[in-house]
Amino acid sequence: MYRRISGWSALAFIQSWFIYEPFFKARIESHDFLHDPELIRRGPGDKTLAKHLLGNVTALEKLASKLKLPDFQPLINRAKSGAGPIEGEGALYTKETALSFHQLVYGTLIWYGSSLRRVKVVWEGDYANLASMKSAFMDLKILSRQLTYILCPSAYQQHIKVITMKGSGVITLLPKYDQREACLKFGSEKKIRDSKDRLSGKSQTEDRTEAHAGLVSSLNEVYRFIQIP
Amino acid sequence: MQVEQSLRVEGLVKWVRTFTAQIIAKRTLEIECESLAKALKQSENEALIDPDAKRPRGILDPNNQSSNISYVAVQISLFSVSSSRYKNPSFSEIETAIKCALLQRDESTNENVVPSEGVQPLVDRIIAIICQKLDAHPKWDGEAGRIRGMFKALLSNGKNHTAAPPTIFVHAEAVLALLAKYPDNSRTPSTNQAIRNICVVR
Repeated sequence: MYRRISGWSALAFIQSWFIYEPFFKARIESHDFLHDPELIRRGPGDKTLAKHLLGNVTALEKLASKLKLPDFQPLINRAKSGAGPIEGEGALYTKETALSFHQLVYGTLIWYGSSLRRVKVVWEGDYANLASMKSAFMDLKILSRQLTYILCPSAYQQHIKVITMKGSGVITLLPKYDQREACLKFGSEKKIRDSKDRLSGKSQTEDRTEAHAGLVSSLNEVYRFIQIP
Repeated sequence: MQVEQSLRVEGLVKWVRTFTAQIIAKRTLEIECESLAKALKQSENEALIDPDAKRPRGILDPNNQSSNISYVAVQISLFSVSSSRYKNPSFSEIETAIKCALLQRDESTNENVVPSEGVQPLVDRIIAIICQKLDAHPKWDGEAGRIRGMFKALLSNGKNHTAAPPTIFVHAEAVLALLAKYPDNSRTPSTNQAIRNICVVR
């Protein structure tokens, strides 16, 4: 799990949520939420996520404070609202909550990644430090549940559609190999990536990616060759 | 090739979900095991009514032998299984796969992509280009190096290759899902497609 989230492509995805936030904000503003049939009613998993948010308000405040993000009050208000997914049939993801949801995904991914790294560091290092280990595992337990609740409901899928303009701007979120080094640096800065990994070499994910990039290049060559009569 | 936007969005959504694949799979398995336990409990109760019925195996509480059978709630920790080594495809199998790809019919014209008499020279050139590209790349370490080595050995040594077989990692959650759904041989799915359907991570 650590390898997955600390690989450059995952880090590139997380970084793009931060870098392109102003663009995504503009896309949210221009999206017609009222007439989007997929956003009128709550979707699968929205109620569970809303309940989770209401049950973890303190943890969310802590997350916002640690990562210097705005609080997630729009989402919490919507979850509490009579028209929201718990008491009513309305969607959790609305024009008012979209940016807050975006920041929640970003913050949770960052904190989840850094919790995994902390578990790895504690696990590989000081076994005797049970308090650190317990704390690292507890953080990870809460965050992994939160991330699962965020990534599974329809709200997440709808958000991707809105910020990519139903897919036409999806390229913004796709990892770009030439930005690999910047992504790894971002991962280290955000403490998602263990500095030891940076020094000792590449993770399995990166190995795979390099192999994949090399093979894609070869296959492109083959493809071009076949196209020539 | 133009990939549909909707597919790209769906792919992106699914890819990000793989960050927590183990946790999602763990919960799915717990639900699966709970359903299994319920089904077994029902089956067990029926067996108690009909003493000749075959007693099914289940997740039983060993201390409880009464008719009011209780089942232990399933909570699965994250886990992994050992990797296995599989045999390499032979050189001729690789050649055949390339040939088959080239001999496919173009749906728009209903003609072969490449005329059959021109296939073998094309296959030879494709393999030559791949070999050339594999040689041209700088040294790769770790897994990338092993994959490159495997391809090089396969392609350059032809039929007499002696490359070590690649390590294939079994999808641990899928294996457990299979075991949870089919705990005994009499219920094991009989076709590959049935196994594939079970192993799909949703």
